[in-house]
Amino acid sequence: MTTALAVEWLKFRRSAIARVATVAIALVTPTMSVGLVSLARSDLLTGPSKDKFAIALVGTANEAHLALANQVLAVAMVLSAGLVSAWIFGREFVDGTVGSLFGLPVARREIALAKTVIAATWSVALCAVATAATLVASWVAAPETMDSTIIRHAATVFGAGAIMGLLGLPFGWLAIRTRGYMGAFGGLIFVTAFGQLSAAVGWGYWVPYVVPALWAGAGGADAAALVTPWELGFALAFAVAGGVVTVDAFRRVRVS
Amino acid sequence: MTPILELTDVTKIYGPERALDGLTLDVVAGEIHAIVGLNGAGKTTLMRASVGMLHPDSGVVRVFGSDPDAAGPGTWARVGQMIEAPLAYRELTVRENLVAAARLHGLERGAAEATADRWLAAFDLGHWAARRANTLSLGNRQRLGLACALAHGPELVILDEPTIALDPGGVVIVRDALVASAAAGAGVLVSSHHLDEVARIAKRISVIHAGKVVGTLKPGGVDLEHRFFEMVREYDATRPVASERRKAS
Repeated sequence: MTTALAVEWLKFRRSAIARVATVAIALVTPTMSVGLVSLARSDLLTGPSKDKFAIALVGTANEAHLALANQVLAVAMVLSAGLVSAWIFGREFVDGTVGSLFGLPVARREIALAKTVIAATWSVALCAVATAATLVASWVAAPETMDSTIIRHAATVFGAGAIMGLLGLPFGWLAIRTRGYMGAFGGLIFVTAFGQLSAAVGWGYWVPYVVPALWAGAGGADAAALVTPWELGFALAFAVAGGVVTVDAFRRVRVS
Repeated sequence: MTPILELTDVTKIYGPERALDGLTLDVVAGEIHAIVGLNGAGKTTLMRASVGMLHPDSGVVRVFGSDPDAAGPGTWARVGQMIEAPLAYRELTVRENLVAAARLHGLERGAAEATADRWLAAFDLGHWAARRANTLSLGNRQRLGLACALAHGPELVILDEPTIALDPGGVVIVRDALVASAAAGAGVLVSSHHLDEVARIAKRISVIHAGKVVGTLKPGGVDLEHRFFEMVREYDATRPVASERRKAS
């Protein structure tokens, strides 16, 4: 497992997709969260434009920063982790290197497990960095209303973003099944659209790709209060199951 | 001598096509066994079956006496193969690829680094050691892939068309490496379209056609192409239906 982790980590940190996603989420989350709240609360926006930023006008500035961070991370984490998971498995088929992973003393199960562990660890760590950066930016922008309630809210935003990131793991399975990353990219688009739709019609509580964001307040305080630990646990279990199924699919893959 | 790779009466069917049709073939230690055949003859399929990339519909495959599906790390550490694309990742440098391949083949980190440096020199890749693999020419990428397959000193080497993209210098390097491997006791299974090339190094040459071994050519013999096509035509004359189906496809 150590060898597989070392090789996969080297491939991962050299990959353009991981580098771009890391920088984008770590910078975009605090910048958008704090920037949009400042914009919405300024005199620069008036009329219908201001209505689009209603979420940025609720509560203190720090609460609004975290509400926006939650909106950003709920989508960005699943998209980035999904893209990364799809790429780390799909590229082996697209580049033709999957054939070279046969006849090795390091089994494909170990290689797949290493890929999954790296993708999962990266997405959770990235979510932590993005949340912490947002918290620091929020404190710099509005130190006067920063308190322990905000810190607790940030922990919830991080938890929801981390689960959303882990929900990217099943897209590795889709990449293996479709022998490339394009099918998984299509799946990501579908899940994002379906998530928006199901949230809009009120089905989101049992949809793994929606409930973490609801829990962190994306649907308002009332919707957040209705989320049960079972529903959150189901989302987390779905992500873990997706990782397990992905590893097993890569172990069983054949090249005909 | 006990074979280190054995395929016995192996069949693999894809829809109406019999990619392997009761193929029997072996490789023993210390020999280079070349397989030659037309495109679609079954050469790549038999190599894929040898390392577990596909599961035959019937027949038996043994690698050092083990079923590929059940073989453990100890067995696979003794094997080096390049059947599909090279084990070379475009985002890694040439040296990093060699170290990664050596580690995946069971070498410890220190040994893998020393081995990588040795094979950079042996395959004349030192100039490109710090270059990313995606910047290499096709021929140098092929060299890198072959070095990755051979660097850990495998006892069984399986290579599909190893010289296909190489310049004459690369062909000589690969040929010397295979001869050296066999001299050191490794069994080598290599496929090629170039009969002259395999005739220079192989101890046995098997002609694969329609998914089975239809004959052997004598290494060092003259006019190998003529004898090869004669063998293929003779086989097709006995199996007109199969021959017509291949022509149609």
